[in-house]
Amino acid sequence: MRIVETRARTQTSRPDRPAGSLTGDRAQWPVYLALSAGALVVVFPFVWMLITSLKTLEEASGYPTGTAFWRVFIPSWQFGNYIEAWNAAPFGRYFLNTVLVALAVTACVLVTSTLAGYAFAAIPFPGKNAIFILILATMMIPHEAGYIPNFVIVKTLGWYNQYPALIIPWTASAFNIFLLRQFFASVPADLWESAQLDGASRLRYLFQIGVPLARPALITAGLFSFVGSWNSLLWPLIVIQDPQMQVVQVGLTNFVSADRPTDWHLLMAASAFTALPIIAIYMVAQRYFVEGIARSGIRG
Amino acid sequence: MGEVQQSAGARAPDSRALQRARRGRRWREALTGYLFILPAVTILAVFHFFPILYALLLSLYEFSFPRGLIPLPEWFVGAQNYDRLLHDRVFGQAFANTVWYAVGTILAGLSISLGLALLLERIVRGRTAFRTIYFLPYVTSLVVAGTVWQWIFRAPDGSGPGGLANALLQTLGLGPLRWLEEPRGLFQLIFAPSGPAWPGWAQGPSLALVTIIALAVWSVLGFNTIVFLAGLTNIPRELYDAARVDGATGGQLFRHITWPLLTPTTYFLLIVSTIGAFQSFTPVFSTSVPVGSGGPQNTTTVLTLYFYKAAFSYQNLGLGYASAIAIVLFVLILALTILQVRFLSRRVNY
Repeated sequence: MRIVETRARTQTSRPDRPAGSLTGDRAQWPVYLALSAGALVVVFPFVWMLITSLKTLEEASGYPTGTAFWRVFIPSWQFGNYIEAWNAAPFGRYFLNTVLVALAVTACVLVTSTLAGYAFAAIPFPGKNAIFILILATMMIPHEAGYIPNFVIVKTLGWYNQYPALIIPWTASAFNIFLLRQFFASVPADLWESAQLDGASRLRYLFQIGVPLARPALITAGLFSFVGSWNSLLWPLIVIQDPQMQVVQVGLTNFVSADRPTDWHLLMAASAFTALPIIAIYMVAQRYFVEGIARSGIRG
Repeated sequence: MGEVQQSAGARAPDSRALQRARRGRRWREALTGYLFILPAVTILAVFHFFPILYALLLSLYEFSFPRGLIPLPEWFVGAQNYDRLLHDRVFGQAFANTVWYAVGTILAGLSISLGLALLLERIVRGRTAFRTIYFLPYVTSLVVAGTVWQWIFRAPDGSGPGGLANALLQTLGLGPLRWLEEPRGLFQLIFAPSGPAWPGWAQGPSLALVTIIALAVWSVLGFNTIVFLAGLTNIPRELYDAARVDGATGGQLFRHITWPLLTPTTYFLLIVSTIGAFQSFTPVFSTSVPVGSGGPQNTTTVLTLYFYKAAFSYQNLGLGYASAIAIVLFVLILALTILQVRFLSRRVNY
């Protein structure tokens, strides 16, 4: 069966209409069933975390044989666990640091990536393609490989235990440069040409016309940047020793590895409020996350 | 509209002044270009590109605390660190663990998400809702996820069967497993749980490592599924309709239309997954029991974790040695990516 080179992206693609079936137009309920089962598995760890966070330590730790299994899913609603967990470590300080760092990183990444992404897409200059490829190549470098050199650099610059160590190395992102370049490449050149006729400089064009147009791409880039910064563990672990400057992910791991036997109910509560801000942001803006990913994947 | 006339081809030769003005403008444009990329390129060069070369340099030295940017000459040991690596049993084990981890994560991650994408592609209502749910783990902190994993898969201790997983097994009448604390390999556990220990590799990844693989797959499932789904929806429906008119069955549709046209997406995901799997640190770190230790008998120590332990934990095997580990990891990822690009790009259909 020869499938010939029918050029894909034609008008008749209609992605909203399913291929109708890779197996025939049978009923859809088995599909929904399978997907729902998968969704349950995916969501279950969150649910279990919340349930445990509302139990007492005894409830959380015991599975006395003889009680019905389903009873483990009923907590005794100990909302006080959240207060107790919050007070057990300087979480307020951790959150403050994390938010500050994440906002700073995101702001800087947006600026550097917009400038660079636009330049790569629209401004001709010698060596452009070579430099762009080198930038993409940095995405292949495992972060860990650079951590010791960066550690040395940071110590030498006196940034150890300071905010700059957490922020500066992450103020540029090859992935976001790529993302924004893809976007700007799709903006027709006439727009710039007519602005140029009106006497605009590249910079003014970018900020007055390019950026407003790029809002969806910018939101996506900003979101991924923020979440990436919030969830990062290894680098903050390396460059920050002072608990007052620590970020929330490391704070959570410290909570776990303290020498006393683990208070699982408190730990689950702490995990819940650590994960919550990002999940909330995600719920509100999930469209930008998902579509940003889908678009970058298609280009391959 | 001046452009239209220029591209017609018939133009009078430009005057010198015009040529100079045009060249001047091009230089100014180029300058603007360079200025625009300068901030990003500087940061990437200093903190991402240059460090690789620097790490290579540092791997030729042996020291525990940095004293300025230039390593002191008396610390120089040449290739000794690499020699140490070759004889380091833990390094060998870390290498093997990393390979198991990557293979498991990539195979399971891609196949399960392809299945999910195929299912999602067949429905219209509720697709967005399912997508939202499946993508949730991707934005969830892996520290949080790892902690919950530790809780669910707790091994039995004095007070009872342990975590929820074991409680479930208990209800089904099966014995508890030690999950994240189980050093024995998967294959051994499946085929010969009470027999004598099989030789190293044959045992397969330890149950502890498999549990962590499950965590890693759980977290990237949404990402892979969404990319696959995007690839699937780009396949034109006419191909399926035409094939079905010719009497093709479901399996044939998949083999001859879906799979070949999905190869660009699969190729992209394969490369991204490979890089991600070898770089993975947080899930392994936060599920090791105790945290960051490397697991029962080092069976969950992957290269990134070994790197961390060598450099920054109490073991402190030396920053030069750790740099050598990092260089090996880098070369490994680079080699795999190049291999994939060379051998697989030919089989991709567009």
